[in-house]
Amino acid sequence: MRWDLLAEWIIKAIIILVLLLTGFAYQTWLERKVVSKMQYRIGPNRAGPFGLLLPLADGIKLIFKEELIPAMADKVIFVAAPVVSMIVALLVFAVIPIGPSIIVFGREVTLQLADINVGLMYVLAVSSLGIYGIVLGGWASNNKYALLGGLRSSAQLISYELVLGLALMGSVMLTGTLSLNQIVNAQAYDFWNWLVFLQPLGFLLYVIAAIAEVNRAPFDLPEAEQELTAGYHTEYSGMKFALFFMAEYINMINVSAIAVTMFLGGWRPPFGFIPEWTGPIWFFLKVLAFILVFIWLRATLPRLRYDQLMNFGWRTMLPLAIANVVVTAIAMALRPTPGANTWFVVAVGSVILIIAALLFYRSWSSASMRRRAARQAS
Amino acid sequence: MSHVEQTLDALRQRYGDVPTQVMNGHVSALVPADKIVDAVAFLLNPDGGFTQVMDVTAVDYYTTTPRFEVVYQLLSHPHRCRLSLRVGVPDVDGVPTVPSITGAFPGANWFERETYDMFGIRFDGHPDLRRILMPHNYAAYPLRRDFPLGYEEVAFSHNAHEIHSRKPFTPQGLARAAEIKAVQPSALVGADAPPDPTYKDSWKQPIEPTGGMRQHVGLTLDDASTIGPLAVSSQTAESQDDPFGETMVMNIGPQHPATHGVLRLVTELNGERLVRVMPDIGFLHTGIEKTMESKSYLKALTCTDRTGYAAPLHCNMAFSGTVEKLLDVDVPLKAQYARVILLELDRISSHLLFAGSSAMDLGASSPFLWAIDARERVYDIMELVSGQRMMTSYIRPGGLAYDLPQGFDRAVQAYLDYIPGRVDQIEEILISNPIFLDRTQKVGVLSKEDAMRWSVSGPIARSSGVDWDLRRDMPYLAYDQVDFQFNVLVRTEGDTYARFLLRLQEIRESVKIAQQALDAMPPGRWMTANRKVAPPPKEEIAISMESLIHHFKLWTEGFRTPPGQAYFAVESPRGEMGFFMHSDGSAKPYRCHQRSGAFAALQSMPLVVTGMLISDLIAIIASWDPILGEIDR
Repeated sequence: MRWDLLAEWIIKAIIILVLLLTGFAYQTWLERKVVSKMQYRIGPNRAGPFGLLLPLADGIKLIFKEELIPAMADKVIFVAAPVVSMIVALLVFAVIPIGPSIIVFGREVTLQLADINVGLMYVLAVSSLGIYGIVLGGWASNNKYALLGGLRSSAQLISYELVLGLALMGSVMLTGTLSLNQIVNAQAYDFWNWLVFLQPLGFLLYVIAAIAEVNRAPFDLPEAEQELTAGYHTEYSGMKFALFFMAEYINMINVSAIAVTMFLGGWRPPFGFIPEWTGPIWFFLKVLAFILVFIWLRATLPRLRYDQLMNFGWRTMLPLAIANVVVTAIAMALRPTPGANTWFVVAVGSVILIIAALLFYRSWSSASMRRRAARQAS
Repeated sequence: MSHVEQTLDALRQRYGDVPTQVMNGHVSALVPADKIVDAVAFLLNPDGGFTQVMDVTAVDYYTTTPRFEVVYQLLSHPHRCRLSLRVGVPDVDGVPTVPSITGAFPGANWFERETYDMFGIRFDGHPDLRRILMPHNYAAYPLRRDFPLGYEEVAFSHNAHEIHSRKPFTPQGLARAAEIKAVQPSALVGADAPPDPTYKDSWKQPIEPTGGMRQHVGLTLDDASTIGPLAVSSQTAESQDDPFGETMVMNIGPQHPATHGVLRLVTELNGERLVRVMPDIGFLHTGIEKTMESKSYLKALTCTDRTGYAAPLHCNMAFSGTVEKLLDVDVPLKAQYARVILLELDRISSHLLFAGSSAMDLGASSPFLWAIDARERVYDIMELVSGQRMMTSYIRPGGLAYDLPQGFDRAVQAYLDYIPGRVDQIEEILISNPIFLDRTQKVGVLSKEDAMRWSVSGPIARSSGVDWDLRRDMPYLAYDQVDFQFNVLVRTEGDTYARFLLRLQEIRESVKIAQQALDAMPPGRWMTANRKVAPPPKEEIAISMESLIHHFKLWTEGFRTPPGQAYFAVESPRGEMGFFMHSDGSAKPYRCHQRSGAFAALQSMPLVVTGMLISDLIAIIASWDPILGEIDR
């Protein structure tokens, strides 16, 4: 047993936990602030300057709140469900590289808890376990709204998990590895090497599927407030509710981090001349941009209906994801020299993107036509 | 010869002597009780010329025989007139009974239920004669004149079981009420009755854990509608159509984020699909009609704000208009113009609330806050004119409460300049969004025929193709004196999308009307000069003893109305908002019934939801725009 390695792991794990939990707290603050600006409101401004202490106040409130367990709930599962959600959410970040190797006290330390060679596999496997927390929570509450929320969630996650995995396959095929560290290194050094340019459709599909994966608007059906009051966590209060809440927001950070790693060059700066030690800053900025997109969507879009969600997942997203994998494979087989002529893949990727855009445009243009008709009618 | 006179002649030919009453344009005919179904069916067919029964209610004359009279308000779209039918209610086996007209006009369903609930009048042949506003096991009929007033003991948590055990709606109270047949004050209050120990115990008994969801208890939807919400929420359904318990009965409401107050919908679900939906209302019932009976007209007016709280001025207007019809007073032109402006602002604020909350119910939160922000600015104007933001009671019988303040026109002009942009913004973000279109188009389609048959009016009927707007077709206020240029928007789709867009576009029409009224506002008094209704001016009170006495009498006792009946309706944001009033010549309304558009419309909602998903139900509730204060009253 190498004690120094163990100590390094523990220290890194603690740092990741602290980062995620702080990140979660200030993400809620950021969301409230940004949404309030979009809605002509002021947002939190009571606790501390700009309401910055609000997450702290929220935490204290939730900890001291009365915990209710419904009389006819399945108590063990009811208590276990939020814990499952939370643990799974925290596990994902272990394999995500947030910077280059640095030298600390003469010791080389990678800014990644575990550089395992099946990192992406691990991410997909662990994140798909998160659904258990939601389904069990919904079932154990013995509440009809919660049950429906849990059912919606399981159907939604199974459908979109598939797309999520397939959308990432293109990048995996191009880089030839499942190790997240190597995928990041394959995107060095300038921004035009980022996989988003080789896999534009894959990126788009991943982002959409990821929103569905973390139950955010417009895919927030499992906890649709106006329909199911709060869906699977209707009966949860106090810290148990907080755990579900934290899991959702940490999952947002997780999927953003994976998107950054897989498509946007990970922690790497956009230009080769920028020193690598700025990596964590770039990583933070890129993840932040994703989270802002999540917030923006939430403030803008209405919610999909259950059957529309399923149709969209199985009839639009899944065929496109499969097409993306097939075309990427064909392009890789046809390119003259392996690795070198990426322009070929880019061209093919663009063609798919155009076809996809046309497909989307059909429904979109009919929508705008209807809008024009409505204008003329009035 | 007007259509009403022709109709009266036709009725006389059919039924012999039909006594009629005419009061300032309100015509009512007394029809024999056994002929009422025939009369309604005759009047509603194309030859009869009438199209909708807008209201059914009753008057309790108490000491006379027959004691009750049921009153029907019929409306003719093609002839633009109203006719009121009255029926003396005979006793059958000691129960006042009239035939139900639901066979001839299904939309009378809830109105007859309400009349049954409030007066105990049985409607023979009614498909679903249950209590509607009062609790299902309530023992008395509150709108009867001999229902005791006052002495209501308030139940707190520390003594709830004691108080409740004396109330008529508990098993013990019910038994006691059955023992004492005649409902007397002492029977209802039972101040001397000791608290019932068995009830106390049953109140404290813990719920037996029965395995909850996993155990069927044989609860049908019909059972669910007669027992409390709490009991349903923990039990599973086993309906007759579905012996294996495939469906689930679920409460949506009374406490639910999307039911716009305390509407309770008992739904039978197959997965997420709705098999049946049964609305249950009355959770916000506060006996406002009963309260009005013991208040002078001016004080009763303040009750109307509390009913349709999303468009309080329309309630004020409907009430004031009815009183003015009874009094036959002239309202000065300036007051009429001011009323038009304020009513249109009120409509804008109500439609904004609708647009925002229906966007919210579909999951889009920003349009909600944009709309609320815009609505607050209407309230700023309301505060400017009346000192109140919401419950203004500003429109009063005879005119307005006070003169318009300085700066009123500037404030309104600023708002009228501002609001179209905000409406564009809300419209743009939603109707250019494919998700919104998919969620609303072809969802909850109400046909034109159903809208007519179920007494639906206002924006819901117009989005189903009913071309009817009281402002244009039976104008009141300045609407009939000035040719306001505005469009009555009609859509034919009848779906949620049409209902949404129609209301948003009505905001623009309201802006047009308000702008024209503002530009043409004449000078003059804000209140009628009729000293029977309006108080004398303050200067006069200081020098004239008679004026002081008059003022004192007017504020303490109130003005008297001549005996008779009147029905007057306005085009409120939720359809026809009307008041039926019976005056016995005193300073208080003998009977005052509010006909709310939302109440009538809500009964048609179950027609369109079968086979839809829960999410659609939420969108449909939102598009029906129910305001429970107005529905439950």
